Amino acid sequence: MQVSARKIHSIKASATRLSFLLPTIFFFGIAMLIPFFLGIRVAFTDWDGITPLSMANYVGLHNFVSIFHNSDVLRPLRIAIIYALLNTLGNNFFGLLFAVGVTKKYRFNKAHRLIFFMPAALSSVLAAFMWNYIYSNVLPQILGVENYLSNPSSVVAAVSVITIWGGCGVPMLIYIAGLTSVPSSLYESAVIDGANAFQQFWKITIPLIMQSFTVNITITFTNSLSSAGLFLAATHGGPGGASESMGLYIYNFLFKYNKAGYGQALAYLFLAFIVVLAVLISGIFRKREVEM
Amino acid sequence: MKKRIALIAAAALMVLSAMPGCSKPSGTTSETQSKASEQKAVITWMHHVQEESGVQYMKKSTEAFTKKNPNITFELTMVPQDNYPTLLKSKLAAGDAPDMFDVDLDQNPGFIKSGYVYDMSKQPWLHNFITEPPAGPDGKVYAIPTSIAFFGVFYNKDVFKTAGISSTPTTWSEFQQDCSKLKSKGIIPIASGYKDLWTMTCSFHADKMTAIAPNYEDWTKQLEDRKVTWANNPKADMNSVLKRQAYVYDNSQKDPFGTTWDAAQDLVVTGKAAMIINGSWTPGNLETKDSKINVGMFPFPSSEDASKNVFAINGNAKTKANAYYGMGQCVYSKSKNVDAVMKYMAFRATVEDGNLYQQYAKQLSAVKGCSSDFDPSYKEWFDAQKNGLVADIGAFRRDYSGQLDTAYNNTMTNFLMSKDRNAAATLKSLDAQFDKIANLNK
Repeated sequence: MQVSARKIHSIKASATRLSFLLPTIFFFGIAMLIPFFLGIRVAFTDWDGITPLSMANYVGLHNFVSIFHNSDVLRPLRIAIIYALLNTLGNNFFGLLFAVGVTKKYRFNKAHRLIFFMPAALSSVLAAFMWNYIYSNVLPQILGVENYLSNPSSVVAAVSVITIWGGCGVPMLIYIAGLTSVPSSLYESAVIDGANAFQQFWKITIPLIMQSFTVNITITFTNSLSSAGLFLAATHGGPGGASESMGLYIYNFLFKYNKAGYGQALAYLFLAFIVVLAVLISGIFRKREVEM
Repeated sequence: MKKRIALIAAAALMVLSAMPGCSKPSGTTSETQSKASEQKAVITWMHHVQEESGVQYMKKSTEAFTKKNPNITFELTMVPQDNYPTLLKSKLAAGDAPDMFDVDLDQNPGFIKSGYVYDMSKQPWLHNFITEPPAGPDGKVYAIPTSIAFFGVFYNKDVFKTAGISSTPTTWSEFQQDCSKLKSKGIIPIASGYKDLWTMTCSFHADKMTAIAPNYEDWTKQLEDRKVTWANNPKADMNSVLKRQAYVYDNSQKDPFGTTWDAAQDLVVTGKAAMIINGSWTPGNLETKDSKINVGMFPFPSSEDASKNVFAINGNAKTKANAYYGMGQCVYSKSKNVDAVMKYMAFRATVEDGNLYQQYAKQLSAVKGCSSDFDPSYKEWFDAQKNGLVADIGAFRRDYSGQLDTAYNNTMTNFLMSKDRNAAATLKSLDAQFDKIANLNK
């Protein structure tokens, strides 16, 4: 009788904990899972995205085959990869730099933590508007430079700057969590052994926060690969298509070119590509993680 | 207990009586109330008019109409041009479309195929327009062009005077000479705000409408169907268009692709630049920024033959084969306010509204009998009309469908920004892209 009461209590506790997941599962289901499964049908049709789906024709694997015959896909793919690499590098470099800075004990460390995180609270559309103004009015006036968003050779890097400015706050928090979990006794022992600050950072901190690296690098890289919104708000893929990322390229087929079937097929292939990359990247970093 | 049951019963009765199927036949009072609410309508209107002059007109027009029809009010939503088509399509697909919207139906044939746009063919007010709205291949009218739109060069008259330019250029050589004169006085000849990409497209439009459109109504369709090529078409000399557009770009302020349409207009208003190449909404915009500005206009002088440099306006298709639906005001066929919208469309076809349009939007109304003395900047337009320098280009389409439009705009952008400016290679590349897209569409 006692055992069953304990069991009931344990089930109740689990149910309570799981109930906190319900809102997330609900919204994830509505925004991601349902469209994902509904879209499978679309990928095998010539649907234009405007007419009722029932009027679309079944085209079998035609959309998928066309994608592999279309070399134009390589350009947005290249842009997406360059953008993802720049973001991963920038977000993690600044995220770690700020995290190391604000975990030190000094008077304004909490205020600095807040300031570095604040841009992450802004929407990417707002950030795009702000930076558009900075690039078109402020920088040309102060430094006499051209608008970096209007130059095909600098536009992807310029959009990356916006992302890093708005995005490094989140990796910073994850790095802070990692840094604060490193036992201080390890640093004390290292000091006794004569290790300098760089050696402590390289030999103790980095290996012990490798879990944070795994999470941050995997998330930043995969999120950046599929980015469409910021490019849409900041450049519309211009000038001359120089910032048309893969996400935006797919968006254009789905909503602008009236080729939703083709766009949907492309979206599935790109999703598979991202999943494979995510597994590879997290696998590489997981191997370097150290158990504490 | 009895009290509780009585309360539950009363609540159930109240709920049931509120349900339309369960309520008793309504009496005289409620019938009158329901009729009154039926007549009330809020027309939703989605548009992409950002300019203050155009917004002012919409405000005045809807106010004037509501004054006559107090039960009909409006809810206007502005969506920037670059996002407008995508949002409109999403709304239509989701069954959440506004009652009124404007669109280029030839670029979006799916709108008609899906039955999204209301057939206005039998409306008596169609005859109120100078040129009757075009009937498409099925003989039906779905879009009403309520203004006479055209493209050209708009200039600051005072700046021309300062530079010693006494008359507007009538040929390409004269245009080049005037640009040199302006530059020698330290004035930027042309303000270009290509950061808003549609303004670059308008500059090309102004050129093509003069150089190609008057004698080549179905050029765009032939290009899309791959019956003709961009390169090597003796009827459409795109090589020269590219060279002229490169000249325009080189005679613009620094960094045209980093300059917005708004900033470009500021350059003309402040007298730092002399000209801006765009559409017929430009004078109204410039005058909104500075009511004292003296704006003038002339056709883009693409030819060395002055008689060929004309203002071009769309009309009905010259041949049945070229019948088109055109661009203009459309009505959502599934709107519950169709009757109210038709009432407003009838108002839009009156001289009263036409004059409001000309007074506030500072553009030519398409309604017959409107004033020709509404803005001094239009004097040159009416002079051109008198002198036979306004050409009816029938069903000539300026823009290309879907992905072709992006390919065209990207290629033109890359051409202008390139160092070598190889027009022949650019047109060849554009042909290759159009071929590829046409194959993908098969």
